[in-house]
Amino acid sequence: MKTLRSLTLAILVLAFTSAAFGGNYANIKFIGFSLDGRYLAYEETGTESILMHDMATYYVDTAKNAFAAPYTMLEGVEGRDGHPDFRHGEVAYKRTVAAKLRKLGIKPGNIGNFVLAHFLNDLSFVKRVEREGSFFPDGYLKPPVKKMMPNYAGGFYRGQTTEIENVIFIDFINLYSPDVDNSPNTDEFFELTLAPTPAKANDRCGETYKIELTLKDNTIRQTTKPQILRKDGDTLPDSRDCALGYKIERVYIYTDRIAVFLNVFSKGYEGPDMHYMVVTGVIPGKSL
Amino acid sequence: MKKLLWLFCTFLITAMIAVNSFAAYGSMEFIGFSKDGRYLAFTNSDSGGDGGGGYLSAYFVDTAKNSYAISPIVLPDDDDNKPAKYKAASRIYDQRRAAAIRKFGIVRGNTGTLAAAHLLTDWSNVQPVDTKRSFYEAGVEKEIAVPDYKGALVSRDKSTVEKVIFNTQYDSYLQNTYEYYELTLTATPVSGQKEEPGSNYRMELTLQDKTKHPYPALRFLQKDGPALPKERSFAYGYRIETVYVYGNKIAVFINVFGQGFEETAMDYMVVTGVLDPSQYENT
Repeated sequence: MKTLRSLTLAILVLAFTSAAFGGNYANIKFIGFSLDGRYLAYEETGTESILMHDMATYYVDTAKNAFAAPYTMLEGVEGRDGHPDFRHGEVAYKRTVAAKLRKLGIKPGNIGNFVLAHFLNDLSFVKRVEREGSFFPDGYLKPPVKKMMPNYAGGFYRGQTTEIENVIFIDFINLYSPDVDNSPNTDEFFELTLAPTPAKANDRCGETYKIELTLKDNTIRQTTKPQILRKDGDTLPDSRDCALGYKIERVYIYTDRIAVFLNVFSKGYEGPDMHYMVVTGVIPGKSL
Repeated sequence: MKKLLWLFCTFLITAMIAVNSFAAYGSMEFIGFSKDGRYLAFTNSDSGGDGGGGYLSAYFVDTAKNSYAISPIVLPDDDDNKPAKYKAASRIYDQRRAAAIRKFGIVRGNTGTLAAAHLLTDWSNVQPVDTKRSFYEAGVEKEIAVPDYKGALVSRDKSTVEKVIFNTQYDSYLQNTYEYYELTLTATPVSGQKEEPGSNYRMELTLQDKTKHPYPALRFLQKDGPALPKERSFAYGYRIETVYVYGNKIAVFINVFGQGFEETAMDYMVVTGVLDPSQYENT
């Protein structure tokens, strides 16, 4: 029988989304945790915008869910074929990042257990519908043709909705669990619930959405209450003041720390923008 | 008009897929593609569970032919009684693996785009059943109905069809969710066997390119014969776990379930191919 665990609510603060990125959908690279799990770092890269190809590395205190150090930014310039050119200032950027990673003891590649991945481009669990779509029959040389075709509408965007998202995962599989007659422990799991609700409208963006992210630990054989990992106030932080929606993209667990990377959608110039934020926390009672 | 964008979930650091588990579930590390995409390399390790008998293997694959570029390099499990012998074998394994990485131009970490990852630890899309379990509250044992995600870990003893839909390019303006690739994994009993416990299963994996119009013909990435190859003679189930795209090449890592010493064992296999054969063969 596993040791019963007590749940306490950790004080968790939002890690951030960079407002400096002007591009459409950002890229992310999770650099890793420190060996003791106290810190993590990740790099976000903007894409597509003519003006912004910036990349930035963020350093997060995983227990406080707050910046552990000021972020490091490299402003990109437009390169050939629209691809960013980071050569300008790249050496200094990398040197600064490496120094901060060393200071915080963050080990690149030490990403813990990668337990869940719901990438935006993975449409496998999106409901298929028939919709009119357009395509270019000969590259972009001829006008687009429109016709009805299968469509995984909504797969690339989740916003302006109060629909609750639940994800279920485990970080340890025991194929011989004595609690279930030596069968797999498929009744032990974590449940993350992301609930978006309308936030206070602001002059710049009008409609906005806030979130509450909770974690329920069903890995222990005791009735537990959800742990609030993140709960926004009515007024959103400046970095998310135009947020229209959220989606859980990936979850990592390292020792007793959890890192949940969220897609944050906002209104962009010609379509939605997407940036990342991370919510981190301590899973109380989890063995190291 | 905005250009199509390459997707964002490129993993540059590591591509280690390791299920934390007791018993014989393997772990896979995708080392990477060669710069030209012609080859890839990955390792599959298995502790062997309590019964021992684990191993560490490195595989080098010709991505266009979907076949081994060289025979797998294997390091048998540690033998507690002969540590010196294991150390020597380990050194030879490291040397052979490093030589093969050099020979095929494999770039460590050059894993391309991770287009889909349906990890064994993710049960979000599994329908749970209610099961009664013992819970303790204030020292008192109670029987409580809890959700049980049975079936989340092992696919076995029945024919299955699994689809993975993904798009490696998107357009946030057009929201082009009508352009995608469709992988279909079909598992059926081998010739002469039925859908029942103890049967072995073969598989076929097809790729439908729906990013172009009109849609190109369905292509087989892998199609087993009536009998299974020796390496998979134990297989009774399959599941697509991760899909990587690098240039014009695709690599699909599949969980292969079979009977281990006392329990279900899981190993990895990879199926590779070319995304668009009509394109110039160059990544």
